[in-house]
Formats: sequence, C-alpha cells, structure tokens
Amino acid sequence: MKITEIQDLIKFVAKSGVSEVELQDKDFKIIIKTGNVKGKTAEPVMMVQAPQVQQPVQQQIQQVQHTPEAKAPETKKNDAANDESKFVTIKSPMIGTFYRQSGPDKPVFANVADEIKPGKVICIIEAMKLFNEIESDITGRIVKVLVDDATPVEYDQPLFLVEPM
Amino acid sequence: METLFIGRQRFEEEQLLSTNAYALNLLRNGLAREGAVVITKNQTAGRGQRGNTWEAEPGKNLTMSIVLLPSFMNVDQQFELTKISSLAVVGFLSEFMEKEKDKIRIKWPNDIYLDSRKIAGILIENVVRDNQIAGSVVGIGLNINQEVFHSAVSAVSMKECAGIEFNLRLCEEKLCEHLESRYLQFLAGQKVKIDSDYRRLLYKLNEEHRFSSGQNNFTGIIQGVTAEGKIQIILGSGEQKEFDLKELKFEQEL
Repeated sequence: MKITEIQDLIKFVAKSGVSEVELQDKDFKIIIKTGNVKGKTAEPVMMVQAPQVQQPVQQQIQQVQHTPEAKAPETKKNDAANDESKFVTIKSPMIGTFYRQSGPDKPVFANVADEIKPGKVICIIEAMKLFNEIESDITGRIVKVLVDDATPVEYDQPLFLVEPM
Repeated sequence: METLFIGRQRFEEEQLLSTNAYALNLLRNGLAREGAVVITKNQTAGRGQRGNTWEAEPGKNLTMSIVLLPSFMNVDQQFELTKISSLAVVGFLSEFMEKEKDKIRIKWPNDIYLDSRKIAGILIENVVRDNQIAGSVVGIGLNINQEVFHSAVSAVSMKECAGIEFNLRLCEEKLCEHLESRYLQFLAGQKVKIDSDYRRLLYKLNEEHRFSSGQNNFTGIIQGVTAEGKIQIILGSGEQKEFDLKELKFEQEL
C-alpha cells in the first residue's frame, strides 16, 4: 500500500462514520479507529501492526514498505482529523455498471481535482440498458474516484470522494 | 394528433448527431416540457447501446426521442420505462402491420424484432438528480421505408415486410399515441397489465433457445423478467436462473 493510499483511506474512514476498519494484506495489517465519541468530530486513530519500534505513523508506514517482513507490537497514534473530516462521498443511487465517460472515445465526466457543482454530470450508471446520467448535488472538488471505469457498483456504494466548497 | 402531451412540443431538425443527445440537452436546460419530441430525417451519429451505432438511411426512417418527466418514479423502478416504450413500439407496429402482428416480439430487454430480424431499437437515457429520475429521454429508431441494410445485425423495415411505403409523419404521430397510452397506463397504476403484456411479447418466450453466458453455451427456456429487468431462464437441468444483460447472449438457431 502506498502512503497516499493510506492517507486517502484514513480520510475516507474518518468521513464514512464507521468506527473501525481493519485491513490485512500479506505483509501488514492496518486498523483505523475513528474514535467517534459523544458528538466529537471523527478523530482517526491508526494502528499499524508491523514494525518493531514505536515511532510516528508516517515513518512506520515507510518502514513497512521497505521491510515488509518486519513484525512488531501495535502502535497508536492520535492525530487530529484536521481537514480530512470535511470530505464527503458521493454514493451510487442504484445498482449497475459505473462509467466515467459517455462512450469509449468521449471525455471523462469528472477527474481528480475537477470542480463539480449541482447539475454537473459526474458519471453514468447503466442498468439493464438504461443509461443514467448521475448529476452532482454538491459543490466541491473531486479528491478521489473510488470506483474503476466499467465496473459494477452496488446501491449506496461510494463513488467519489469530494472536498466541499 | 390525438395526444395530451406527447408530441405537443416538437423540435424538428434537418440533421442531428443524435436525437437523444439533443433532447438531453433541452431537458437539462429546462427547455423541454413533458412529452417533447425531438426528430430528424438525418441522424448522423445515432447511438445504440454503448459504442454501438444505429444505422438509418436519411429520410426513410423514424429517428426520434421523447422527453418524459417521471419524477414520481424511483430509480429502482426504471425498468418500467423499458417495458412501456417497448410495448408502445410493438403496439404501433401491430396497428400498421395487422397481418404480421404475431411475429412482432420484444427481444429482451428492448429491441423489437419481426421474426428473427430487428425492426426497431430503443435507447433510454435518464437524468438522475438527488436520487430521483429528474427526466428521461426515450430514443426510438424504427426502420420504416429503408430497403437495404448494411450493418451486420440482420435488420428489416416495415416496407420490406408489408410491401408498401409508409407516411413518416403519420408513423410519428401514431407512435406518440401508443407511447402516451402506455405511459398513462403506468400512471394509472396498471402495472400488472404492463408486466403481463411485456412478458407475453418476449422473443423466444416458452421456446427452447440457445444462449451463452461467458464461456458456457446452453439451451434454456425464457420464463419472464424480474422487477429489476433480469431475464429468467429455465435451464436444461430444470434449474431456473436469472441473468443480467451482460451475462447473457442469444445465440443463433442451429
């Protein structure tokens, strides 16, 4: 896992409202706890199980990447959610196939860093040959596209991570 | 024309890339009322299913799009739009070609066949806003007076079949009437009638046919469709399975 991916994951978990996410790969395990208590804003707590010594999370992750066989007790880090809590997700209104463009040689509706606003088409979801142009209902900037082009999506599945503006 | 709203607002252009794209644009800009029709004699980049094109010789066929505003409809009900529009086209064809009536079928989900050749295609595009269908564009391509088809899919026209030339304007009006009456039927809550008509008219219903799904070839019998539009097929083993559009292909008859 790349550091940027982990960062995105933390932001995503912080915003999603779930209290804990555990992800295990071959070499390491990540547990992200949002510590969502009594009206407080989500504060992601990340525990990485892998390296030996306690050190700041950022460094740990790098170490995991370089020496994936390292084993270690779990470490905690309390880091303020800062800006990540302000991200929101745009979810799929239906089951279908997610498309980022209207045709194979057409422009992509919404890329990372693009600004979107209500009424702007951000993707197409096709179900049983019915093509649904999904409009954004918020104003913001795309932070991440969470689904690959031409893949199936479920109802309520997050499609885009957006920084509201 | 004997309609209340379909075709009352009409946009006719000499030439358009795609009537659906034009209609979607009108819809998005608040320029289309419910029932607005976009029509052209010459559609130069007609769209079929993703990436497919719709071939129509200029001036010989109907290539039109109708704007509907089914804001009462949840996104998960949208297969009803497929049923309504398919039934409208079948109803229209049956009226104009009385003798061929029994040969007109809906090849799931929404191609219209005369025997084993395609006579009409439908492409529905919805605008989804706040998880609701803010508007819907029903694109219909109907082969009317064209006699030669170059595309790979075996196609047929009304003229080829009936041996006479048809008046395009009259066809357009009649098609609007059929669509409106099916749409009103839906609004009136006659879902059972729509469901049973759609099922009854399915191509290869209750007949053994060859299909493929991925690498598998098999013989099965179409039973009907689910509420969301999946097709139900009884396999040779007696087991009934449901298939999504991408999971199933109709194979040629041996």
